[in-house]
Amino acid sequence: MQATAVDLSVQLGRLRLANPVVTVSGTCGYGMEYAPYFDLARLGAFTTKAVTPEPRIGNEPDRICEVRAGMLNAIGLANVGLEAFVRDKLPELPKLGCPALVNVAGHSIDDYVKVCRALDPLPGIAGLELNVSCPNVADGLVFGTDPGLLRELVTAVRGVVRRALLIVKLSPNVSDVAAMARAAIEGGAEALSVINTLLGMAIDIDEWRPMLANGTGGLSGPAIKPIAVQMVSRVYRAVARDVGVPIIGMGGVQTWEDAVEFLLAGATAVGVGTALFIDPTTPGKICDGLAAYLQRRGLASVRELVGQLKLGEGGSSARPGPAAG
Amino acid sequence: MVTWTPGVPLNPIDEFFQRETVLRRPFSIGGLRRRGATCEIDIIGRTIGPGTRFLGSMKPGDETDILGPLGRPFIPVEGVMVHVLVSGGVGFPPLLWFADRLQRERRRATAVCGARTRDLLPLTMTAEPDSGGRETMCASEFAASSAPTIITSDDGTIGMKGTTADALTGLLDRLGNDAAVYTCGPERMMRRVAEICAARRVACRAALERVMGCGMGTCQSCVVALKDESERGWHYELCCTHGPVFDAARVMWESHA
Repeated sequence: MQATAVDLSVQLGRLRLANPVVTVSGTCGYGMEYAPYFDLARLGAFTTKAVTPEPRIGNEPDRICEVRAGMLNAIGLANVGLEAFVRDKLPELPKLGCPALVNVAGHSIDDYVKVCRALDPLPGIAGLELNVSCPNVADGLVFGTDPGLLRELVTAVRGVVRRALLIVKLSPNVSDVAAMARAAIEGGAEALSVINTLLGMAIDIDEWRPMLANGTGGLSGPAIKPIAVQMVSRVYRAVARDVGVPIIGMGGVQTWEDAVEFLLAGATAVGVGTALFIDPTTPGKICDGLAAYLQRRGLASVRELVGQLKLGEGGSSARPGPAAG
Repeated sequence: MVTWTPGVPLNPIDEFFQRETVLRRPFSIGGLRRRGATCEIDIIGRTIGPGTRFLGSMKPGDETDILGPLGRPFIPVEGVMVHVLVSGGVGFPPLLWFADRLQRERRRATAVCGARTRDLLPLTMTAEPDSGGRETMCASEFAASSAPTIITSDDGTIGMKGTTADALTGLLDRLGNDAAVYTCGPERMMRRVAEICAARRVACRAALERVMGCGMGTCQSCVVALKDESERGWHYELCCTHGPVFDAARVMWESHA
């Protein structure tokens, strides 16, 4: 049989991505750090580390701690700040060879508006991702856990973002992620990243202290994947599908099989984060695996997977079988 | 009924549970021999947790993969008579690599290796080291690079009873401080070595160890605080890419003296 090329491209709102694999903010620096290890042009898109109005040195070490099937981090949004980002990092972004998304963080609505207003007109930025869910700074979770505040924040930013795709990254540390998704979309989000890290803690039993200097940190890695898949599915079905807002699904993705799960759950693109620390060539391997999977299934495009999860109305499996009883 | 995972022995089950690690482990390169398109790398470590236990359980022929070389190595300080390599415990591998370089550049090196006790010093002794803290060709790993070695142990079970700091003090006295010092080992020991060097205006470079996530400068976890002229008086640099070797005089040590 003749092997036909499958189409891996996806449409993330107004952005066309060559494939659905996106690097996750905070796990891939500002761009060129991974250039020695793999061809960044093979990515669907790249997401920078968070940019705040002023430079931040971040939290005291220890900043990370490995846990079973995952890791905790409390970096504290260490970054060079808006001015140095524009001067030193932005000129590097075109070298990536793929669309660049810039993650934006702040303490107040004014902070986000200031950074987004400055970055939006600059060339080389395809999208702005609002980090409203960093669990490692004093008030980082406030915007990410209060729907009213989130709507207000996104509305304010929407007013100054004209060119770049506006993405909001949701926190899983809420009782109903769909309510947050709705608030972000009402504010004007064009895409959603689901999910950020889960708040966690690990304890040194010799010292009776937290393993992280910050006390708590964000849990990432394969440990959180089932939670992330569930939240993508929930956001997709409850909110995003009906209004046509695409989701970047992320949380513990390590293999192409993981990516397929996220796509079926309703993600249009899939973020790879913690896995990059272990193997920076993971995105290429996922693309290869996805292409082979589509071919085996006789599918022409990766888009045919998005949201195809078979799920009954009550959330039960719609798998046919003998009736219970 | 039993359950098993392919490739994982049926027991001990504890080993299996603890193997659910995700991150790579950083190691220094102790030696490197090129053979055509392949090379042999010496890695020396101690089992301290699930990751090193897993690596230690590997057998000849087992496969794994490595990412490297990463970071910046020791560079010889110019214009000194002797290059002194001070290690604690299993901190000596990067200094072995460095001793080889020094020999190739026809520079003179002396090693000082210490441990709490004999069993925690995995060097091959071809002769009993001097108990008075004099350097001899006793450790074959350093002797291979023509570097004589002073051995110390806290409990006196091997070499000189005392610390590497004690031995370094005696050695620098004998050399009239015409030396540069390179150190790797527990932070407390490196701090003491750095203080001795600073008091004598002897250059000192330290290979630091930090909790690392990626080794490539992206996760921002392995920060080292370095003194500077700014208002704050210090800034962070990354151990993995800016280091792990730093000018010891600039390091703000995490341990107390």
